Amino acid sequence: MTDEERLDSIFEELMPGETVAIRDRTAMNTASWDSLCQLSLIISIEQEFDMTLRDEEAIELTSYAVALAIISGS
Amino acid sequence: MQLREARKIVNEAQLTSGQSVNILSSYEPLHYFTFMQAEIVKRFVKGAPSLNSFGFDQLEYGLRETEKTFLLDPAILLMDWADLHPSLSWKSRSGGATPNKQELEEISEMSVQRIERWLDCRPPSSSVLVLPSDDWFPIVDATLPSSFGQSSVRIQGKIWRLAATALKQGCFVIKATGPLDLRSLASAGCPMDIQTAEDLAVKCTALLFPKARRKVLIVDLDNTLWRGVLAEDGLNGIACTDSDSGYPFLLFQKFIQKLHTEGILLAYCSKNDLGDVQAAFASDKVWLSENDFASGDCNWGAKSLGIERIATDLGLGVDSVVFVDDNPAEIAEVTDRLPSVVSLQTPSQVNEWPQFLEQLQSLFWTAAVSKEDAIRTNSNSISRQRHMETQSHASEEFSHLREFKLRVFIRDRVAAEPRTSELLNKTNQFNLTGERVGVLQLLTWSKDPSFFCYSIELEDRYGSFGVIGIIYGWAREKEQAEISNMVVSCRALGRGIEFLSLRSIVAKLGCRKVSLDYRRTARNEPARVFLEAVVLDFKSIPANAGDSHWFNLDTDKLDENYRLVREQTGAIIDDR
Repeated sequence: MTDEERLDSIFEELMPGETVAIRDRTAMNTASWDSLCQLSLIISIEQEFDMTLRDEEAIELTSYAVALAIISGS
Repeated sequence: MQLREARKIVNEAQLTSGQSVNILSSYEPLHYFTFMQAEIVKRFVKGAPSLNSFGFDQLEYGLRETEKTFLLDPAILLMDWADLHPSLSWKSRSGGATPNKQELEEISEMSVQRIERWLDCRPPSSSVLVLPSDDWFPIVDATLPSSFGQSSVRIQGKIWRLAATALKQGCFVIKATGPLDLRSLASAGCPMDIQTAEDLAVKCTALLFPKARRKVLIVDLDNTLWRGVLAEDGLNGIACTDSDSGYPFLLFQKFIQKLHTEGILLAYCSKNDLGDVQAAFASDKVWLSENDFASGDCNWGAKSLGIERIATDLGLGVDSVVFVDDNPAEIAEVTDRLPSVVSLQTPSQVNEWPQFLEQLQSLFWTAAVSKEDAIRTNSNSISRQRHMETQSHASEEFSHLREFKLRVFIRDRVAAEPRTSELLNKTNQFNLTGERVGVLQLLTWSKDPSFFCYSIELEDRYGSFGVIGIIYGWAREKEQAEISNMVVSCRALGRGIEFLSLRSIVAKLGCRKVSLDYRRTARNEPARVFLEAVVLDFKSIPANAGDSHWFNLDTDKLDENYRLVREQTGAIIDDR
């Protein structure tokens, strides 16, 4: 499973039933992406990819694209 | 369990609306909610209760609802320091401000009394009060953070008063112990981190939905109830007092006596002589007494058989049993043959004991010790059977040892090594003659070219046992050898090592005819059982203890046992 696919499954679990395509999702265009979802997203990414997000990364984590960039280390 | 795994369990669960579990807190419990629901689902095959969360500003509403609508449903009150005083609260944005003394008394007293009223309404054993972690406490006094000031003592005193009231009302009390998670606090006022959330969920579930309590604790003796090997070190060589290296074992004895007073039946299952064991219990070396044990089994065969005998004695199934032994091979054998027995290994390091005792406590935990529990352990109707069994080696099973990767090393010319005389003089059970031989005697014999003296060394995947056996004798005639003695440490018995090593040494000697000396002693029954499995015409046992009797080795019988052990254990023999 690629990193993108692992990230897809996290987004799918945390934000089910959204109309916006997973890889286009942002905190602005996704209704279920609230503050609690944000915390779950941070923990899920940390556990799935065995990493610890820095505070700046946790704050900037507002879209799928950013999440993927954090995981890729770019 | 990872959060995603917990979420998956929750999403796939079929929950019932018939019963609910109510979580009350002044903050949003975030991941605790998910872990708690997952843990509850794991406890129920189907129809697990669903969770209600009364978080944030719904705390008072939740307290009221669980006093009436959900009175009969379990409830968990997750407390925070802010519940006792608003100036400690993240929500009021004044966390860290030193509370006004009078205000502190009034407000915190009101909060405590409100929760005490709630506790008063709740049925026993249906609620959990979770005290906040010390690490969540704001710095409110002008003291070093590691010390206590007036305000912090007052507030902490209030919370412990609440805990005492809760216990009096039959409510469970636990304490969060994790660090403050500022990220969760900033987002949702939740002070607990992910690990604390999972830890609390596991504990709360265990309290509200306990698994069936185990009823019998069966313990090994050597290096489990005391430090040392009774058969080798003697009564003076074992340690389990507060003034020697056996202190953890004394704590263990006191702990299992506590279990005994809570209705748990105690029994022992050991590879020892029953007489030695009873003498140990009668001495002042061992804190427990023989009367503390409802049953006992001393045998040289498989521990699983002893456990079955004890369970039958006590009229209970083996699924009621927890078994504790220091030897991983015994644990593996019992786990293999009796999977419903919970088998735990005695800690090998001092620091491992607290966690081990906590694990045991959880297996025997009960909300309240009933009259029946007390009657069960004190009843005169308990059989208090003591077994002293021996079992034919030929019928033993060794397949559970395959994963242990046994390696046996046979070395020649070991007469001068200190371990040789030590083993010959310490070993009582597996000792063909019981003869004691000093170093000088061995050295004198070793000058004779026909004298042989082999050591048997054992190791498994956990490490080396060192030298565990000695075989010595003479091969004076070209095709005949006389084995004057063979000893094997009782630590190594039950693995078939005696067959492997004797067969290898006989092959090295290259003699067609081999005889073995045997003298009956008060304690060498295991050696007799072995002999019976490998010699011709064993019926003529010497009548008197100490009389020497030479038996001829039956190489076919030895080969058959050797093959059986090799096939089942996969043991490697290095006899170069």
